[in-house]
Amino acid sequence: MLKPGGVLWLLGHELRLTWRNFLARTAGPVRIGLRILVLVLLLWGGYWVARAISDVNPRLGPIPLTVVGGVFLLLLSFMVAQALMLITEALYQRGDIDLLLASPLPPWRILLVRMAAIAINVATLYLALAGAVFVWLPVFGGWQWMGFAPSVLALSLFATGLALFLAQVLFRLLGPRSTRVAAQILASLIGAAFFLGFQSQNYVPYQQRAQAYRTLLMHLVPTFGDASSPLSIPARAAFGRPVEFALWMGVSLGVYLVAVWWFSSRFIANASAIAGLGGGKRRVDARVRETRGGVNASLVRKEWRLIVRDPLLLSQILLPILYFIPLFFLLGTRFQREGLSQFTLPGMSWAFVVVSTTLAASLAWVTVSAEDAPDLIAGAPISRDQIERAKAIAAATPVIGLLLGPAVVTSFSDPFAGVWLMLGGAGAIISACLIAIWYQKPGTRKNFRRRTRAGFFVNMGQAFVTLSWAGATGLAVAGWALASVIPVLIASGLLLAMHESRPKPV
Amino acid sequence: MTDALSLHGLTKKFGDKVAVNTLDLTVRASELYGLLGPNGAGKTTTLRMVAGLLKPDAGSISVYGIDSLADPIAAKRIMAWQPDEPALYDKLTAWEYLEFIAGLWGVDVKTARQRAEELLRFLDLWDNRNERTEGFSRGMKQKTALAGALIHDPKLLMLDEPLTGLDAAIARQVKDLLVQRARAGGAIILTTHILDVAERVADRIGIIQGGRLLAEGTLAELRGRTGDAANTSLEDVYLQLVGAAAAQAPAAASA
Repeated sequence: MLKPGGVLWLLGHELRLTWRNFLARTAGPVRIGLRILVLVLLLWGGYWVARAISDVNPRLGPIPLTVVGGVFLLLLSFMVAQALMLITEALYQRGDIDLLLASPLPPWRILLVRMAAIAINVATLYLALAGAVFVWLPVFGGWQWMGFAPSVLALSLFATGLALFLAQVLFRLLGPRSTRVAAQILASLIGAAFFLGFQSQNYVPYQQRAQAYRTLLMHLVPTFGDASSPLSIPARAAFGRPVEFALWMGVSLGVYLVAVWWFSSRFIANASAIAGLGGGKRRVDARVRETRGGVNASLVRKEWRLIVRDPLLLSQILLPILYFIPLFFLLGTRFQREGLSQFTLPGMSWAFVVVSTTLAASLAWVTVSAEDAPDLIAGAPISRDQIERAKAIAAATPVIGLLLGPAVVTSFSDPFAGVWLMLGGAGAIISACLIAIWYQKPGTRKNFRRRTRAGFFVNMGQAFVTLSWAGATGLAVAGWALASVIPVLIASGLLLAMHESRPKPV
Repeated sequence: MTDALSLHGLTKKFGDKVAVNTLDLTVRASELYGLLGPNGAGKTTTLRMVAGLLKPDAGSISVYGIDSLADPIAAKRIMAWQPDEPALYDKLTAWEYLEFIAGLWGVDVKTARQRAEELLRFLDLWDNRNERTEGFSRGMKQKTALAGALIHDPKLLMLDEPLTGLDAAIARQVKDLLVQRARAGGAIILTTHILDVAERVADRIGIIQGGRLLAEGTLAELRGRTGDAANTSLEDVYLQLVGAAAAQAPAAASA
């Protein structure tokens, strides 16, 4: 297995690549410092948790089993989402997989290893969190908790197996082109649902929340809390029961291996279908029609077309808006209670400015930094300023257009509020576009989620500028227009500082 | 004959490595100039400097008398550059791509439409004009990029390996188009590894190695330089010149 071409040799190759990618992402003193800080904080937190739980000997009653089972279920949904995303990436951005498949190695072996790397990848976050506790457990004699780490690893294998089945089903139902978009949107939605689920409890009164938890527990106890139920096996394995532990390991590994075997027999066909996308199905779009010429119009039109026609990119740009739902929910409930009070209208205006700036910053990254044909544009007889201006217009105008809706609605209750919202929003959006231009870093649209950020300080600067504009808008809408000058001055000062310290174009 | 492109003492370094070394080169109007050389000889770097994508460390570039370093926009307006990998947008149709390029070069809509139609018909892409380029084969992509390079009717056309990866029929179409343009007064400079192509279509050939021009002239003149017979192929002449230069380099280094 260790000899070249063997499973462990291939796994070593995968892990080496993953490690080197990690190192490449960690380069730079600030990043290294931040990671060390995170590690220290994790270990510090882990120390206290391990100290607190080491003396606890959990009884395997219905409630502990249900709680652990429920947590595992949540983790499973999250892991399946992540694995699904990684599997589709492995299929579509195959990188070296073509090279490996062209070798005389059996495809199942290549896939077995690639999927194992995905399972390890999926488990890493949870194992890192759990690891901070586990390193201290032997110190405090908390051996009874040690079964959790391998159980989580087994859960990641199980999740990867389920994701493989899901990917195959999507492939069959939707075909190669739509599977990627569907899988990634599905994965993002699961992730967002996880976040929103946690957030939503903050907006429910304590009494109702407690009642909801009781009801949920009552429903889950018969399934997860019953020691004779097969669904309690993962929790019992985590608590270190040897038979259940062996059983859970076996089941996870079995599901994983069957899924890999089933998937690998179809992988070549799937990979070929995806490879054929380039020369296969032809997409017909707009008919030849009269359009206006001109440099700005051409650039703006091109940017809009490319974004609108890329549903995956569009979904990735729009999905972060989901994370603002709790905020709007909070403001909405307050609106129901108090109407457009002195708090609600400024709060909503503040939120709209933050959301629209988030959108504008994403769009500006796509238009400015993720140019597919930079040499083509650089070779055109137009100045760099003109190109960047057109790209900023392409990013800013749709968002300003979207902001017009809330501004008009706001104007019905207070005409000035609508004007302030538009002014503040436009200021924040234009600032985001300027920062995107000053600190542009070449990237590709395919890697939007992993886009090269301009650095910690630039991100902080962007955040402060946005919050200043949002604050100014909120103050002006609340009737303190004069006071809003202060955050506007702060935003302007920050922008000026960022402009002066921007990297000079080569 | 007017000089379409004139390079004097052009130099570009990447760190310690000299990619282009005091290069002097001239391409005339109505001429198809073949720039040949081994991998890493500096061909692409030279073209990228002329296209305004790289700043030279020294030297001058003149395009139809315009100092392209002093007024790059004016120079870019009358030239086109096509890299070896077609720079297309997957999600645009061939027609939209041409429309976009025409917009960048400020071609008026009516002329752009007319030229786009002519080019797409000539290159057998008319029926595919409303398809996104992501579905195109390599050859179709190459032809679309070529149409994009020609949409503003450049006086100087620079092509980096334009025939790589094309099948015989498409390569023939492209060669015919290039020859046709040169005969109509346009200047073309192309790099290629396919010596047969240079031999057939180029009016003059320049051989570059280590960033320097080893030899330049018509095929007959190059044969004369190496003392070869009239029926000797360009491949033999090229290998002789490049081989001799490669043999001299270590000798000079050790001297």
